[in-house]
Amino acid sequence: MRKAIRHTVLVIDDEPDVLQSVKDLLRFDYKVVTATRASEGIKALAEQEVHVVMTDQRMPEMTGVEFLHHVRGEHPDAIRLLFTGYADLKAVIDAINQGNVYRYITKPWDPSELQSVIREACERYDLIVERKRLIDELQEKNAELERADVLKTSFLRVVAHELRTPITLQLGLTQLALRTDGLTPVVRDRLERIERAGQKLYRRAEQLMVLLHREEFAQNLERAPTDLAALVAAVVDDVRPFVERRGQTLTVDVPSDLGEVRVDAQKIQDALELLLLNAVKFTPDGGHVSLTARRRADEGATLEVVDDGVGIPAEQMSHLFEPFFTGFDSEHHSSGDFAFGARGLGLGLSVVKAFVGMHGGRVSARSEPGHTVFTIDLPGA
Amino acid sequence: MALPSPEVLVVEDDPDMNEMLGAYVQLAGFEYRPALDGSSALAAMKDRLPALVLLDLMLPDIDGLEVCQRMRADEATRETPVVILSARDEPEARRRAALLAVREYLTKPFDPDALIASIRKAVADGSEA
Repeated sequence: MRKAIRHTVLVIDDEPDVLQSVKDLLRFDYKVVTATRASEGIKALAEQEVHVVMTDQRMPEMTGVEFLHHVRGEHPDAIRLLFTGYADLKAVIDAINQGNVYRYITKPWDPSELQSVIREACERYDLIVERKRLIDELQEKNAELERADVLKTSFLRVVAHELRTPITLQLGLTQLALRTDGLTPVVRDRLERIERAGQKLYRRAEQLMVLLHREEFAQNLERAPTDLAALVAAVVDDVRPFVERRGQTLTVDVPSDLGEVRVDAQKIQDALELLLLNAVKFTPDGGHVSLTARRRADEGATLEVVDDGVGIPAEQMSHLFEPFFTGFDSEHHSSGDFAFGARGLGLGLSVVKAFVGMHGGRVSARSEPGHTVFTIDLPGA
Repeated sequence: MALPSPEVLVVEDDPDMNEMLGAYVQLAGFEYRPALDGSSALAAMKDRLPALVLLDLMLPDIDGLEVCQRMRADEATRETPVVILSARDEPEARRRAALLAVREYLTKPFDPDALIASIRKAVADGSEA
């Protein structure tokens, strides 16, 4: 079965015998259009789509190089070929260097060489057209993405507002009610529970915002020289009450001469706190959690959280830092900030990764039952 | 007759939120006056100068920073202290607020004690100026 003819080749030569022999050679594979002078060729180009133009150098009216120069301006996608005798080589080489001609073929030609030159020219045409199509497609996609990004940013701003407003009302009104005189202990206890649930809801919403919004957060990173030992101490203060409620011990090993890191302190503090709370959650009552910090030789700093808890199954390791990955089991799901095995929404570790990643740092984990290590590597200044 | 307590203008489009903030203003020891959008806030200030404007940023008509800018451009309200209380926490908004001599930039949800302290401090500083 013959393959379908897809390309049109225009051949221009003032000798009819030459035209006929080229036509005989190519007509099974291409649609061949012939012309005996430049003006005829120009007419043929206007009448149909031509993919390859092949012209003799010596013609009446104008030279082949001049003709191809014209074709380049009017039909820039068509691949331009020239055939010529040795006497014209200098003009041809100049034309190639100026970009007017893709290849030249010397007369008399070898039929199989001519066929392969035409085949390559058609392939080149296809490649150029395909590349143009891809570039157009890419530009279109890019514009789409930019539009989506603008939409997303304004959407998130509205979401943040829409979430924070009711949470602010819930918390603010509860705290007002708590300031009322003469509350009975039962009512006070219930109001305090409402307040705690509101705080929890607020933290969840903020974590979601961070994940949805991380590019914007990364752009607005407020880096400043930060005393790392002081940062660690602040986190330990925040986490200590949870550790105590679980009857665990927390060992902190931070050299006092740790020095400063250039970070957005609040975000690194949040990241470290989330890692510590994660360790607390997956370590049984009475277990042990440790936190170490050290300066690396490359000026960066490493923070490490180690626990002797349940460990992470090997098959879960590769998804550990993905948002919403909590080894979900919706039938037996427990929510909480520090209770044993409480998985919550599964945002914590992905927030850690997002915050550390924004700084050009890296978070990693290794685990076996009874020994899990999370490491934050912060880059040097 | 005792002098009336200084008045705090609360500019906040959510009526429940506005009223709740009013309760905190009263807890701080001041009179509460609500405005539900930017233009009525500016009109209310023209009518009677408040001791402090507690200002939300996202408002239905003119946004909060624009309200602040117009206050600064007007002789009468140029020195009136402003505390922003917004759900938006963006460095750009903070920078612009600082350029407009905003006393404090608080975010929602807020810490009640911090809000009360900020209101008191801004009113006290404003009356000294």
